[in-house]
Order: sequence, then C-alpha cells, then structure tokens
Amino acid sequence: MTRLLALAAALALAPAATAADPPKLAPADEAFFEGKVRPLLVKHCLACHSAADKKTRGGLALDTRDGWAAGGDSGPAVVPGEPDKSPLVKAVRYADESMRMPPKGKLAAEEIAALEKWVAMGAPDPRSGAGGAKKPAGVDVEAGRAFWSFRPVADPKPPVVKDAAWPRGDADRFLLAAMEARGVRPAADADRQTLLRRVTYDLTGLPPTPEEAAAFLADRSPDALAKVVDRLLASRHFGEAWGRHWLDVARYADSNGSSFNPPFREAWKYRNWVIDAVNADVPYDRFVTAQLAGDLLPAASQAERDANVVATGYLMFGSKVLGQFDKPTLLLDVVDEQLDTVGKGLLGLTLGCARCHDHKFDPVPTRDYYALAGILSSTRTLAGPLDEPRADENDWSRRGLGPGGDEKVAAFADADRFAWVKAGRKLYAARAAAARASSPFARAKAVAEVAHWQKTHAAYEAKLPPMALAPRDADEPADERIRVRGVASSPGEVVPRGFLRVAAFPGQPAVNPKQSGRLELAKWVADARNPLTARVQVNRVWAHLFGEGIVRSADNFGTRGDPPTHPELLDFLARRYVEGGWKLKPLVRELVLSRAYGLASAHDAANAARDPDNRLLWKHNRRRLSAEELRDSVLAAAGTLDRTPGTTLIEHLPLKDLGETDAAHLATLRDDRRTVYQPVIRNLLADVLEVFDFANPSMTVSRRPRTTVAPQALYLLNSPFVQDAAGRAAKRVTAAVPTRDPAAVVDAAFRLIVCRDPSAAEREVLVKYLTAQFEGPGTMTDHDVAKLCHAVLAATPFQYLD
Amino acid sequence: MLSRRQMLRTAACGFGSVAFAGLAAAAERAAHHAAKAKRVIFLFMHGGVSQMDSFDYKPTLAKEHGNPLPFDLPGLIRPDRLGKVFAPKWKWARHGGSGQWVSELFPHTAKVVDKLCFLKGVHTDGEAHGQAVLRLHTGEANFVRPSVGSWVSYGLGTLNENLPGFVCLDYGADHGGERNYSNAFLPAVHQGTPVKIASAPGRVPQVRHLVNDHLTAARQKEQVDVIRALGEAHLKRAGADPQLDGAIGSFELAYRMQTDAPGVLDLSKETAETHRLYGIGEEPTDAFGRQCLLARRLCEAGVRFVQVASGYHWDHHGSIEKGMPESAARTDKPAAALVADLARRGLLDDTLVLWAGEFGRTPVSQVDRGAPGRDHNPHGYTVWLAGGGVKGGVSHGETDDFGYIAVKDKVHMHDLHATVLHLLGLDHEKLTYRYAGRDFRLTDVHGHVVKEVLA
Repeated sequence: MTRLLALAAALALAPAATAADPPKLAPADEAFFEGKVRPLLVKHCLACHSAADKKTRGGLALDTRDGWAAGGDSGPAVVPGEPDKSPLVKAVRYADESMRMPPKGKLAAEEIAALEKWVAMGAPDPRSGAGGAKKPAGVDVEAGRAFWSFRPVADPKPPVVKDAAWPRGDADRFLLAAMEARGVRPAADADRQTLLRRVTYDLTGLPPTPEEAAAFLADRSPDALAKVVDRLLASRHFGEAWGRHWLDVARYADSNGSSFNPPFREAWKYRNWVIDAVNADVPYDRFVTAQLAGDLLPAASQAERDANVVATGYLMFGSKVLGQFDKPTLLLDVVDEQLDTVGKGLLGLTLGCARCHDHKFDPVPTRDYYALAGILSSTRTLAGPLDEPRADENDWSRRGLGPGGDEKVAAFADADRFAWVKAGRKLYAARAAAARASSPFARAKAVAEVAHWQKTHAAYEAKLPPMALAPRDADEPADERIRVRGVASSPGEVVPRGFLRVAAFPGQPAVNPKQSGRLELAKWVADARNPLTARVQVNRVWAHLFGEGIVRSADNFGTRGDPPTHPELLDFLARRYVEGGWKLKPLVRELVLSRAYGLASAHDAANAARDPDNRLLWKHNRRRLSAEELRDSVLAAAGTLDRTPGTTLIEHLPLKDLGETDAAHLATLRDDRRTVYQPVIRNLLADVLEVFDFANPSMTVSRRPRTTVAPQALYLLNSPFVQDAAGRAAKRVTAAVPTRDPAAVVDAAFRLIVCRDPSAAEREVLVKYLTAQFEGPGTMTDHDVAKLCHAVLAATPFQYLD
Repeated sequence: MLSRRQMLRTAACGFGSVAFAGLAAAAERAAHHAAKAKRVIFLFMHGGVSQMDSFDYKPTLAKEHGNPLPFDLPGLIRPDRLGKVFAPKWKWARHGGSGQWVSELFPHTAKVVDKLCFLKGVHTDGEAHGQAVLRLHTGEANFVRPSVGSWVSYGLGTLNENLPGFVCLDYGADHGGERNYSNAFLPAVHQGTPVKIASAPGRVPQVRHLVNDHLTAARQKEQVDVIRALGEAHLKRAGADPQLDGAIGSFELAYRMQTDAPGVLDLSKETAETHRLYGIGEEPTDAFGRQCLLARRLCEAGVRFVQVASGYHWDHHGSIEKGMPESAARTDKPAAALVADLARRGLLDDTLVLWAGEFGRTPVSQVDRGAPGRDHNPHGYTVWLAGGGVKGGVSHGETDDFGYIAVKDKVHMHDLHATVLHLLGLDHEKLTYRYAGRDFRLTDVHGHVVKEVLA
C-alpha cells in the first residue's frame, strides 16, 4: 500500500519532475532504452517527430520524454506501463486503420515487441530537454475578441475635413480625411459619358443604350445622376447583376461537378429567388435567414413557405463526392464544405482549418467547429442512392413545393424515383443515338426507341411533384463529436451545438435541441450584434463599386486577412446599414452618388508615389468587364440580346454524369438571354466564362480572379461568338449610316459598342484601319465594317470601364 | 515574392510584359535546391491499371487461384461483388540487366526496364474513380485545389515565352474534369492549357481558339495592330495602368502563340522512323503514340509539365482477360518509345516521366459482370518513373503476397507528389501559396520525399 501510494505520488509529480530534473534510470532500464528503443525511434520516427528538427507531425515529438508525455493532437503518445492504452503502441501495431505508424510500412515484429516491452516497463527515458513538442496553449477565445473584426461595430462620426467643399456625403468625408492626412489629392471628376457607362454597368451589368446616353448628356439638372441611379435601381437588371454577385458567394451551379456530375434540375429556382430578392430589396438579415433556415421559418402563405424552402438551396450547392464509398466521411465532407461556405461567405472566416486542429491563426477552436458542424450534421443534405438501390452515388435532398409538397415528394421517391431516373437516362441516350444514326434502318429503330422512352418518361414526369433542391432537419438532431484530426472514424468528445465563441454576444439564441439549430444559427448570423455579418456584407458591396474592399481580403476578416484601409468608414457604413434595415439599394445609391465614386480613373504620378495601390481611393479603379458583362454586351451590340428573364434550360437533362460527350449538346442549350440565366454546368463551363475569370462555381468566391492572359485575346480574336456578333453589329451600323462615310461609320460603331464617341485619336486609327480593308477603291462592304466592329469589341476601350 | 500585378507594374511598359510575368515571378521562387528534372511528362492511365497483370509479379496468385483470400478485404464497401483469388494468365519474365519482372502484355516496356523505377507499394485514398483521380492530380477531392502541373508552373514558370508552362492532352470532363488541370486559386497563367489530339478529328492537334479561318494572316496582323493602337491611345489617356498594359501584351502573346504553336503541334515534322517508333499510323497505338510524341515536342519547346490522358479504358471490372491486353497494347509501345526517344535525344536526364493510374485493382475477381474482372484497389499498386533524377532499373516498395495491400516502403499519393516536386528542385513544404489567409501546399500537411529512389 505504501508502495502504491508512493508510486501514485511519483506519477502525479512526474511532469513537474521531468521538466526540472530528468529521472535517473536504473542501469538495466537505461540499457534497454539505449539498446533497443532509441535506435528504433531514430530510424523510424524522428524524421517526422523531432522537436530538435522542428518536425512535429500531428504535434508529436518523440525525441524527448516530454515530447511523448505531452503528446500530439490526439493526446499523450505513451501511457507508461499500459501498452494497450498507448497510442504509440497501437499505431505501430497497425491496428487502427486511421493511425498506422510508421506510414511507410509496418515495423518488424521484434521491433514492435521492443516498444511494447519498453512501455510495459514504464517507458524509462533519460532524454530530457525543454524541446518537447510545444503543446499549443489552446485557443484563447477571450483574447481573440480584442481583434478588430470581433469587436462590436463602433459608432464613428464622420471626420471634419479641410476641404469642406469636396465631399458630397459622409463616405467622402472619411475618404478625404485619410487623403488629407497623407497629402494626397483626389483626382478630377470623371466625364459624364464615362460616369454613365460606369454606373450603368456597375448597377445592371449592361451598357447604357444610345438613348439613355443622349438623355443623360442632355439633362443638365443637378440631380441628373440621381435620376439615372434611381432608374437603374428600379430596373430588373439590377437584381440580375447583384444577384449574380451573391451567386458567386453561394457557389451556385446547375450541376454537382466533382467526380459525378448530374444536373441540379431545380437549381434555377434558387437563382431566380436570389434575383427577385435583390430586386425586392429583401433585407439582408432576412435574406440570410431564409437561406440557412427558410424551411424552419413561419410562413403566412404557401407561396412564402415555398420561397423560403427554395432559398435553402444555398446549403445544397456544394460540389459533393457523391460516389464516396465511405459514407461517414462523405457526410462530414458535406458539412465541411457547408461550413467553409458559411464561414467565408457570411462571416468572413476560414473555418475549415478547425476541422482537424484548433485554428492556428484565428480564435476558432476545434470545439467551435464541431459545435457548428453538429447543426449541419443534424441537417439532411443527402438522400440515399440516386439510382438502383445498389448504386454508389448518393442523391441529394429535395423538398416539395405547394400544399403537401414534402409528402408528395416522399411518395414519388418511394414509388417512382429510380424508374424515373432510368427513363430519363434511356430517353436521353436514345435521342443521342437517333441523332447519330446513319442508315435509315438504324434511324427508324432509334426513333422507335425514343418514342418508347418518351412515353415512359412523360408518365413519370407527369407524376413528378414540384420540388426544390433543399435540405431538411434530420429525424434525430444530435450534437456532433469532435473528430480527431478531422477523420470521420476517429470520434472524440461530444460538443453541444452552438456558434463561434469569439463572435458571441449577450442574449444570443440557444439551439433548440429538438431541431437542427439552423434557425438559431441564422438568427445568430443575422443579428445586429454579430460583429462580422454586416461588416462582411457592406465590405462586399463596397468592393463591387470601388474595385477593392475596405478589407481587401473580402472573405477573410481574420488575423491573416488584410486590415481595413478605412476602419471607421467600414463601421460607419455597417452600422447605418443595420439601422436602415439591412437594405442594399439605399447603400448602393449612397455610394454611387458619392464624390469618390465619380472620380476619374486617370493615373497621377504624385499620388501614386505616396499610395501606389490606391488604398486611399484617390482615383476610381479601372476594371475589366466581367465574363457576363462581356457576353451580354457583345450580344447587345449584335442586337440579339434577349432581356427577358429566364427559367430553366436543362429540364430535359437526365440525372446522369455529364461529361465530355455532353458538351456539344449543352452548348446548344444556351439562348440569347443574359448570361446569369444560362446554366452553369460544372466541369463544362462555357468558354467565355472559363476564359474571363468567372467565379469558380465549386467554391465560394468573394473576389473573382483578375487575370490578363493570352487565351482571352485568342477568344476575342478567334471565337465564332465574337466573329458572328461583329457581323451582326456591322449590319446595324451600316443600316444606321447609309452614306457609308468612313468617319460616320466609325463613330456609329464606336457609339454602339463603347457607348461614347471616339476620341480624335481613336477615330483616326479606326478610319485608317477601315479604309485599308476595302478590297476595291472606295467600296465599303459589310464585311469590312464587321472587321471594324470586331476590332472595337476586342480593344481595351470596350473591354474596360474607366 | 512578387505578385503578378506588381510584376506588371515594375516590368517595362508595353509588349512582352505578360509573357514575362510568369517567368520572372517564378524565377523569384525557383529552386529550393538543385533540380534534377527540368520538366515532367505525366502519362495518366485513366481507369486504374491492374498491378498483378502488369509489373507486380505475384506467384502466390497462381497457387491460390480460386481460393478465398486468407485475410479480410481492406475496407471495401462492396465486398458482395468480389469473389475468389484470381490469377493472371500471362507469362512473366525478368528483363534487362536489372531483371525486373514484366508480364508479357508489356513487351516494349520490358525493353526499357533498365531506365524505369517501379514504385510497387503505392497507395491512395478513395475507392471511386473521381476521388482517386482528383487526388492523383490535385492531392484533394473534397475541395478545389491547384493541380500538380499548376504548382509546377507556379514554382518554375515556363521555359518558352510563347507557350504555356502547363499543357494537358485529351483531358475530358469526367472524374473532376478541369479540376484535374485547374490552377484553382493560383494565378490563371498556371492553368493547364487543354490540347486535343487523340480525341480531335483526324487526330490533328487542336488548341481552342488558336486558329482563325476568318481572316488572312496579313489581315489579322492589321487587326491586332489596330487593337494595339486603340489600347495604346487608351493607355496614353489613362497615364499608366498595368492592366491595360497587360491587355495589350496579351494580344501580342496570343498572336505569337498563333504563329509559333502550330509548328510545335505539327507531328509531320518528325521522321517516319520516329512515327514508327511510337506506333503512329498503326492500331491500336496511333492515338497514344501521337499523344506521347506531341508531349515530347511540347517539352522540347519549353513546356514544363505535360499531362497525357490515356483514355478511360483501364477500368476492367469485367473481362480483364480481354480488356487488359487491349489496354496494354494501346499504350505499351508508345510509352516505351517515349522513354527510348527521350534517352537517345539526351532529354531523359532532365525529363521526368511518370506513368500512373489513379489506383490499382484487386487480386480477387469481381463477379457481377459476366466475365471475371478486377475491382478498384487504392490500397496497393504500381506506378513507374523514368529519367529526371530517379534511379533506373529498380523496384521500390512491395505489396503483400497477393498484390493487394502495400506493406513495405509504402508510397502515398502525397509522397509521390513530394517526390516529383523534389526532383524539380522544389521543396513540397516550401512551395506555398497564400489563399484565404492560409498557406496552401500541394501536399497539404502530408508527404515524404521517396529518397530511396533518387539517383
């Protein structure tokens, strides 16, 4: 008994003792360690687990006693005297598939036995040194709250400026004060044609029409611009352009992508919901709540309930590895992707790191990750197999629309879903075969096949209840377990569902244990007291109008993001945004009517020397047209743009893997509506989108890449789309200028495409080019004008907004 | 490290800055250590090659044919469709001075084994094609990550101002599609440029939008000139703007690509002997032969990383006895020719050839497809490397006696990536890119260089 007590006391004291004074080992113990254990550790382990070499994979060092005693991410590596409880022994035994060491191959049996014996002996280890793996102190959430983005939004007052005549609004005062402090003078105001083109594209993604340009130039009233802005804000095209900005954040797509790429037939309903919501100026708190938990909200009408369900498509668009055999990992991966989207998109934080370990830079502990993960793993995003009860690929969750919608969808799924999927695939294949058939006999056979499957498929389609891509709460919502190193099969401690503690505020909602917790998550995100939400969204709006955000890393407000260039301005705008009811249109209106927005984009050497990155916004940032703006504008110049809203173009596509062989068919589906209404098929993006920096639809994107690469020039020079549009534009130009006077033709083409008159230099260059194209003396053909239009479409005055 | 924008800003104004940017920015990062390889040709055996029928000789299989496997299946979710041990029917022999085992299905590869380094204990994650293909090409399946070629292009840049640094031949839209050559969050200049050849009409190489059949060369030059003149007038008005500068330069580069690339893509410039060597003009080797020859030409012209999709024909779930010889026959001669051709041109020393599928196959038969086949197996399989600083005539790593599970000198996919970067002079732990507040690596937090195979 005495001995036992002494041993217990020694064990309790052991950590303190080792730090100061390495235990003196019995000679036999020391001999065993030096003879059998140390060489083995050196040979097989220390390459990755050595504090001295600063290689501590999984946080574990094995070159000191403290190293294994403190252990790594999964706790102490050795429990002295208990081989069966020691992770190190388990790992070398290769017992657990998720933790086998060394990774390159199992140790020899006698080596394993040596380690087992050593642990059983009590793991005698003479190696001291403070070099034990440094255990992370853990995330200090309270200290983390001192970081600017986690502090409550302040209430700054607009500063006093020296040049009181310059500012037009409060935002201008913040900007000018910063410029004055740095000795920078704002640029001159942009000319009116430039400003009209800028604001029209920024608000609607479309060029001003010649009539709109003429009207604006003729209107000399002081509120001429305000009238234009109000017209643009009221236009349906505003929602199309700004809805598209949100779709980038929501990684919207019309197919799953990844390794198995079936179409999302109902995705377009979400897309149109977004456009409509932006046009209706639905307050951002409601906009977000509907997307996270619309199905859990009370609704006054069936229409409202359906819209709320459609909105939850936001959680559904992740590009999933539907064929993952390991379904527990698939479920965790789905949640991880959702958290990545919610984190970056709504909170400006990268949460993914915390799946495997406490966030290294931001105050997000693994606990908080799994608190959020529990909410989403209590939400069903996936359904069973997509086809044939035995198939590998998972289906995704759908919700019914209309009265009794969910029940109808469930009934359809039980009775007809597999047969419907099969009929759709058969019909699609039969149609393709019919199109390929070369002999009359083959054609007749194929046509009969098509007719058969058409009939079968139509019968199922008739039974198909209206539905949306939407999740539902799991039958038994539950808290999630921490997964050691993020591995699904290594469950740890259970964490109650909740939110990020670093952004917690008094009186925040608590998860209703009977539900997933999405509703409370939505309320927590969309709360005026959440320090991140309004800042992130206001910053994004600012970035769309000024070219860069006040925080340039728009999806990272953490410690590794960029600090705000104008922190008070950001808080001022965020506060006003929330107080004004989270409304987008008044914010946009205020910003585009600011003096700063209307500045010219011209370079200034003196300012550039002081502020080369234009962080002070002493000039407007020139930007290239987005992929959508480019395509829409080319169609507009050709006179073929269809400005009506679109619905779906992919209803007939079967739920099958869309691949290379479908590319040609998919290309035929596009119509001349705006690009936002064209299907976004992952892995098979339209060329114009792929080449011109469209947001990667498989990940949440707050700021699109901005590249200048040769494939863009090749597209503009050689794609049939631009060539064809140039031909159509030419016909419009020559129709408008029957005299075919070269200068008049150049002016008309330039006005049609660039929305302004050419400068004298531009006119001279283009007239010279045009007349050089004539094949005979003085005869201008439509083909010559097409070449002219093509050059203008490719050149920078059209490609860029000054 | 300079950002692309900074590069454009500091580069001399005008023409050339775009091509220059990729190179010079890369030069800043170049070489963490001395490189053995300057370029990579990755022959992707899409579908997953059976190691037991190609290079991983397991006499136990013949003895145990028809018997149940004496150990549990490793973690497969579909054990119901797997049957008994299934022996390959091919003759095996040792080849070359190094005495490497090769099945009779690869007679041409057998002739170059002394130049090859077989990794026979490779393993990966993901029992479905999509996951394994994405992991092989990007290291990750659940999130979009830059592909290996994009990392290499980012790390080292191109060796030719008029051609991209990373080209992929005949990649389709399946199993991750463009993600398998995507730059993800790396600058777009590092994206793989897709070229179609095996899948192009007449097997004539095609680059999207490279050809203009609308204007004569002289007329197009005039058009490029007027576009530049408009750009320069714009730039003059703007004062200075690296974006406009870059846009003007991009037209010049596009025009140069249009002028230069067709010569590189033109296989008729090669001798009849070379065509024969690669099996061009005969079946079933014509398609892969053209791909391999084009890969060599692209490398010679300065492309850093060429990845070649064999076509998705290795997935022998059913009828491995018919399918395996067919797939081998399509690829064996051209792949061996590439190694031999690079060697005789003195290019093999600094060109790394990697031959790999996304996973291997099971030593037990798959029984639900009529004729017996083999199912997916990520637990152990074989890839080979040649040239570029790896030892020739060696085998490294082993599977168990049945060829199922890697047991000795295992090489994970991340290790393979770390090794490829190492041979190029890049340290996989140092080649990082800051995105969304985090420094990303090709190998994430994994990867060990397989030092044992370094020459």
